[in-house]
Amino acid sequence: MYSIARIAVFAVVLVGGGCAHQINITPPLNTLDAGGVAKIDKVVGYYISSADRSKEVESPGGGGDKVKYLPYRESEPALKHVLSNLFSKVVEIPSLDDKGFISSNNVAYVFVPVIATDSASDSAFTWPPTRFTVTVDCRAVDPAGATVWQTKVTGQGNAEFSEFRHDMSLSARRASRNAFLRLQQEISAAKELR
Amino acid sequence: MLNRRPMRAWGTIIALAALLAGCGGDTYLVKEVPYAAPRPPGPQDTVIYVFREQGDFAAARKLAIIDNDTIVAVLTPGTFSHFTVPSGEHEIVGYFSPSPVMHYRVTPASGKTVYLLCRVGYTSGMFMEVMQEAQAKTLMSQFKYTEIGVKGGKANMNYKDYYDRLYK
Repeated sequence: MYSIARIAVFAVVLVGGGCAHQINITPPLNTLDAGGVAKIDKVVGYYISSADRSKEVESPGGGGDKVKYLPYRESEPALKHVLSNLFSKVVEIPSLDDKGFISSNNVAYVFVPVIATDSASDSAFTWPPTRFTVTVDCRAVDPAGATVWQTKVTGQGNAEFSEFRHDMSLSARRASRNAFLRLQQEISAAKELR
Repeated sequence: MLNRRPMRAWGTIIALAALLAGCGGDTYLVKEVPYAAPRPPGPQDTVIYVFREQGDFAAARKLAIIDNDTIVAVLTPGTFSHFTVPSGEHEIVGYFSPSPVMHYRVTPASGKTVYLLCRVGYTSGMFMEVMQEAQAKTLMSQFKYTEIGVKGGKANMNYKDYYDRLYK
């Protein structure tokens, strides 16, 4: 009996101790509704560096474990989606210094996001985070490279076990959705971008 | 404050189910067959490929793939399948009996092909993500293609509605 208990404890430690679990913070794009906003008739771009796109982040999950994700790569579909909700055309900019690309595509503004995340869990027994925060500090630059607009939005997401057992990334995706919906509202309200 | 007792019980059940349990049967008559590329999607259609990554985690468990409320494929580790749907919103769900464990909402993509990868691992994650075509082509040459013999089987609910409510 003692041996069985030892093996069980060892197995739990081996399987569950201090791991980092991959999650995905991309929100379902159907949840990023345009909300009846009239589109602005401009071509805009966004820029995410290749270093940022491959950047992996770890933050706390439950039970002493961590979660890991790619905040820029996984936020890119949400950023592109909200910009597409607001502007007539959206292009990805290969480099902020590529003035030829920007002018030949008639890009009016380039949006450059800086994304920060954090997470936590109330649970000692399950690893998915029950609380997640996504902060997007986003600036828009004109073709000359001057910053014409900037904002910082935060989205929070919570998820309980009964919910996240059907989507382990749920709190993160809710936080990401909330952050990008707020970003959409801020851009929509910005007179500088009209 | 969350009540941890039911969470602990659920955690134990899921861990045991995922790690130990085999498949209960072959309800949908899944079989490996030689892969043949589907016809390109028509202007009103979307072709959806679904791959399940290789791995030992829950390897004995079959992952049912559900399109809204219809079972369209069953995947074991290192296999893939495809199906064609009318363009529109499709909640693609990965289901380990008795629960859905992952999902991806395919939005209208007329005339396009969408490639989805099901991650099933303790550290590599438990989620579905979209893949680029080049990565999918590589996996096609490494993975086995499966089809189900029983088509049109219904899930116990419409998961499009379910996940809509989850994200309300």
